[in-house]
Amino acid sequence: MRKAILVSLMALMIVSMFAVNPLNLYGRDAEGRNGVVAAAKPEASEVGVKILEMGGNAVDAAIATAFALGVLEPNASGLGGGGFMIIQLAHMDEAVVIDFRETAPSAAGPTFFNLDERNRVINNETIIGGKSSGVPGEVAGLLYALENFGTMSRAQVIQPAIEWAEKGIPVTVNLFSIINDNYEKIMMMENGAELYLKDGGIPYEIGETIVLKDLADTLRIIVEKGKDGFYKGEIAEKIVAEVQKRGGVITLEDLANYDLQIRKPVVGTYRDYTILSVPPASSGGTHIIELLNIMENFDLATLGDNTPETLHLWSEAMKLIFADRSKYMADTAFVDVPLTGLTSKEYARTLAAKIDPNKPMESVAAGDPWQYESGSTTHLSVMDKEGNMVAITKSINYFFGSGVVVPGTGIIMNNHMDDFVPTPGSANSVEPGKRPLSSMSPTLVLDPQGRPYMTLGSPGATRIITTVAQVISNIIDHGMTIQQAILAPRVFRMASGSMSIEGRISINAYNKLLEMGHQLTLRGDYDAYFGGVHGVLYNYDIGILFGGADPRRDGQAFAF
Amino acid sequence: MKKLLLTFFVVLCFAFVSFAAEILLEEPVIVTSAGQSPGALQFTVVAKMVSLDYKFDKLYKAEDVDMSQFKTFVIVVGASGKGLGAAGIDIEVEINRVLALAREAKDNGLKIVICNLEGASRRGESSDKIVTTLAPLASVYFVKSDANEDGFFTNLSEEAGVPMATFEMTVGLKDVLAQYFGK
Repeated sequence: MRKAILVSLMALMIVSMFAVNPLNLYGRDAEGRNGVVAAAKPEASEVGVKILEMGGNAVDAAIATAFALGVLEPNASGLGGGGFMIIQLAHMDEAVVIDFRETAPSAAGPTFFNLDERNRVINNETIIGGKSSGVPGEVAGLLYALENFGTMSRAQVIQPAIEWAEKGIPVTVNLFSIINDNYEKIMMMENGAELYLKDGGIPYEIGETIVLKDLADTLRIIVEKGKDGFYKGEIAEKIVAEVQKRGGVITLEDLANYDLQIRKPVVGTYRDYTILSVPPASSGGTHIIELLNIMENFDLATLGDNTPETLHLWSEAMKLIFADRSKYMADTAFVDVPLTGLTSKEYARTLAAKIDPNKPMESVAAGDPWQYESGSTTHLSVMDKEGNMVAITKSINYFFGSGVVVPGTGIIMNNHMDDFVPTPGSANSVEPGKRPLSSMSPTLVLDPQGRPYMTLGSPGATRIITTVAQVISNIIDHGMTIQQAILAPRVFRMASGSMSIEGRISINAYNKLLEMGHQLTLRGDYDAYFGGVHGVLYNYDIGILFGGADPRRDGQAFAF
Repeated sequence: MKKLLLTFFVVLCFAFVSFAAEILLEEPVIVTSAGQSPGALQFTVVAKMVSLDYKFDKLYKAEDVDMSQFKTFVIVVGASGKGLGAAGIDIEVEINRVLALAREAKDNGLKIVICNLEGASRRGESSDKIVTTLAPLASVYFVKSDANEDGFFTNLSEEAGVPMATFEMTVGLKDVLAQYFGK
């Protein structure tokens, strides 16, 4: 007995020692001949692989992983959120995009948010509380995919998530830090504090577990009743009551009327590889293709990865695409968006021609893609040996969303209303039923022979666009493995302001960029600011699937 | 071998809450943040557990506080870019704010507690700068153990000849408060 206690204590000590290591770069990747799942929590990836081992297809595995992530990474996504999914099964002629983005409640309009005299939102209304929540789409989206493209039952794919909710989710260094960073938001609303803090308001320690029994019960209702178990009846009533209590306007009708959208993917190419990603209401896929189209005009392989010359080009191209994004992008159900122009090679050439290889542009205006018109999140990727590919990016927006936790359900409501422009007059202003502009970009890549090659995506708000593009370039231009491509340092910038660079970029590149006239913000060595990519790549030469996962989150791939 | 291991773990367990109240602190207590991390708010949660008589504001200014009303000043250190950004201040402004409060407290005879409640996650250039700036005014340190793995707080405590209490888990601060405030 005493020996058992001693062994347990030693094991606990060893686990604790590793747990306090803020960054473990080893064992993030995985390789297998049959299937790979890469997600932001190792336990979630393992759930997906077990589904594959049980005979489920890539969609079954992805949906099981997605429900599990909602439990294991509740700060980033869950039943109260929404997202986008892209599926291409081997027998399908064309990939399909499932847009399960949240929608604005029917009572919301362009003047929904209270603004001060300088048009600034009062009391953080877009971020905290009931007004910040859109009508969630996650349950509708995940179940639609399962019912139309999966092979297993709701019970089979949701049961692992229920088990984790009951067993308790591990508090990792990363989760500890996220809870601490969002402590005041969690403390603001007693239901959240009850679930995610202990002893009346103390954060759980690293190595402890957080049990989510209410969430397990909600998942059981979804197993039993399907979509209606969430959008109608007791759960819906609880959501409406709590959101309205916290100042929001979501109604039972809004929930009952939630409608996902099935869309065609936005398609482009990069050096003969085909890129398939999501169209609006996400801006992500369109601007990934626009960014890669610009970069295709430069010989990055010769310029080298993370050299000042290459980083300068990325920076300038990012300025150009974000200028276009802010001018043109919105929900295409409400606004005309020049999608074909934005993804046109010819348009990209005109943008590339604006880039001076030696000095940064001082100001950037949006281009005119109409001339060429003739068209706080998580990510998981699944791919199997048949070439079935699924990529899902889903979110409750900021970590812990709006802070509104629906009592008795474990549901954290999103704050995606913050993705609207809070003032009237913008293409992305609030309108009833409108989807706020997103950057989520689950993406598939086909090789030059047209075969399924890679699935990837990332959290990280607008950084999603640039991060996904840089990882694709790392693989195609610089010959990196998927894990190397994920680990490599990243850069980001918007149309104006400084360029953010990750800490590991060489001092020579840093100095040279300063010399060229760039304003730089130096961030951490592996900074979660730049997202968390999870991807799977198929190497046909050796018949092996390679999964890559991101240490900037708790990512880990599993394979079999 | 078993005995040796058992002894090791017994020593380790005692080390988790290793302190002795070498000074006694008195109420009422005034609490503020130094660095705008959530640690100061967490301190108040633990303070309630031992019914400590305290007043808290994360942005107290020296000119707005009558220090003569208090006996102890607790400064919960933790530099947070997010917190400072939300408060609209930079680290230098924050250090000057807390330093002015601490000087006012010292002039009024208050004991000054420098507290690290969030552990290693609040060790870094900015947090350490706050601590070293305030160190000459400290009467006692309350420190979560993993923030002191490099002996940073031990050195400050020994150099100044002031006591330090450590605790392994956040909730362990309750025992420290109980002991130092005679609760």
